[in-house]
Amino acid sequence: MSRRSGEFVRRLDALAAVVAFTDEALGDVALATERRYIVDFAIEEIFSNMVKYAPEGAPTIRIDIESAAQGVAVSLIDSGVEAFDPVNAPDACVDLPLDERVPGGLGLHLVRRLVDDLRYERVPEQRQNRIHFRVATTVPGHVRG
Amino acid sequence: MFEAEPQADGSVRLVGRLDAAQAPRAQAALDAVGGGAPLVLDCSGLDYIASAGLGVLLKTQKRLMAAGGGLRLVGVRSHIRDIFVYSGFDQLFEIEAG
Repeated sequence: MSRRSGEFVRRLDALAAVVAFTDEALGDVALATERRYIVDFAIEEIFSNMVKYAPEGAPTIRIDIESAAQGVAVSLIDSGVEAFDPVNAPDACVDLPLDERVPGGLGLHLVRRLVDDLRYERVPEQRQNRIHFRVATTVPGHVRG
Repeated sequence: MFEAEPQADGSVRLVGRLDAAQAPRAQAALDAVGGGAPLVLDCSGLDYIASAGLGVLLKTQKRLMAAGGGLRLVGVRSHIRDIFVYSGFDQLFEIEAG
């Protein structure tokens, strides 16, 4: 098992550094393409959400990645921000016809369906949101509906 | 790295990672394509797409459909096709697997 932590500036152009950090943190973990995609997708969507909706927060956002043979555990920690619980955020309407669909709102909707064990933790003293999730190495074979 | 490469046959080839940082570039490239005829997007080189990239495709599809065209997504890799399906995009776009 290995654990890495990184601090990333609160900007979307930090995403390249986040991906490089994820590559390094996952090291020798054998993740199939679709499982690795889920890890990258969930980290980006949560990170991007923190960047876009909490510009008043601390200059950097912390990402912890713990990897083991059975899977990956990720935490994103955002300080100096208002509470926001992605676990209970409203779902997007994905069955609307084209003229009623609007861009946006899909990120967390998809994250909730793709990852295992998405959890939200609030630390009021530090005005801190901690979002945790896991992605198993093996494919469960379905997406939560 | 992300590129949207116009091809000689009028299609556009997407290559690399279409993340939130690259979405404005992707949108600008697709906005430059006129409507009126179906636009083929070759996704065989697309490794990754984030929700911001899905928004680019949705916005482009709405524009092109209004002009009598539309997007046809070809060469879509299986992990990206899964995201399209979970997003309901399989009901909005013509999608061909890679």
